[in-house]
Amino acid sequence: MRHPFALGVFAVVFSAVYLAGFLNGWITFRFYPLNNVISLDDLPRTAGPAMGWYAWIVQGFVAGLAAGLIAAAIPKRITDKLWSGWAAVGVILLVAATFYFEWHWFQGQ
Amino acid sequence: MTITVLLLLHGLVAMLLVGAITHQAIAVWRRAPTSGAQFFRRLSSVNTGVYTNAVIVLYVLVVIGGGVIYPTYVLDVKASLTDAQMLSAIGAFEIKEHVAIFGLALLPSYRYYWVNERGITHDWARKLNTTAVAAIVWWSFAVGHILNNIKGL
Repeated sequence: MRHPFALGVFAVVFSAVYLAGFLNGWITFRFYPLNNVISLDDLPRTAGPAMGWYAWIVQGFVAGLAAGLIAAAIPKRITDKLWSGWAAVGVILLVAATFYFEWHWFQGQ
Repeated sequence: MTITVLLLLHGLVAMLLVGAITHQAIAVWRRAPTSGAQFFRRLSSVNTGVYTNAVIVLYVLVVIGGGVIYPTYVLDVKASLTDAQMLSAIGAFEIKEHVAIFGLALLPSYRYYWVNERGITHDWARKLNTTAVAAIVWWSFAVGHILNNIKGL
């Protein structure tokens, strides 16, 4: 892949969709480590804790890949006019947003 | 026993990753010619490009290793931390699990600006990509290390 804009779109969309999945509870499948079960349904509490992390990764990756492929169709002569550091800044902002949304863990102790 | 070995390997690979990305991050911000103590001169004058593929391979290995031992963390460590009301530790790990994936997503772009575009035009893109990956690696390493000290697997 020699299309930096598409790679940037992949990074930002992957991360943004991952974070959106976490924040909004979008979980296409859950992993239940107590019984090593993957389920599309939300199982009862007796199944133990559910993990959505793997689903958020898959969801983010699929969305990032699709967006990246679409972005790759945009001619380079157009995308090359963009400042090349934008994707890194986008990911840094998403990291900052993650700290903001998770900050409640550090309060009230 | 197996999980202990996996955690040890995960930590060792993470340590190699910290070394490689730190070297590269320091060097990418250096102002040539570098003056000062010989240690820092040598540290910042390495051929930084050669670290790129190593960083990517190590990063992917660390994420895979983390993904394998993560369920054990959820069952054993997180439950203990919750019982002990160590909410800051849980929060720090939650941030680690998220930002580590953001770093993974950024790796293709990071590689592009080290391998395909070495010119001065994309100097800032290279600096920002590398610094973002380095910051994520350091946060993840520090949090993993602290949590292992609090309650190892």
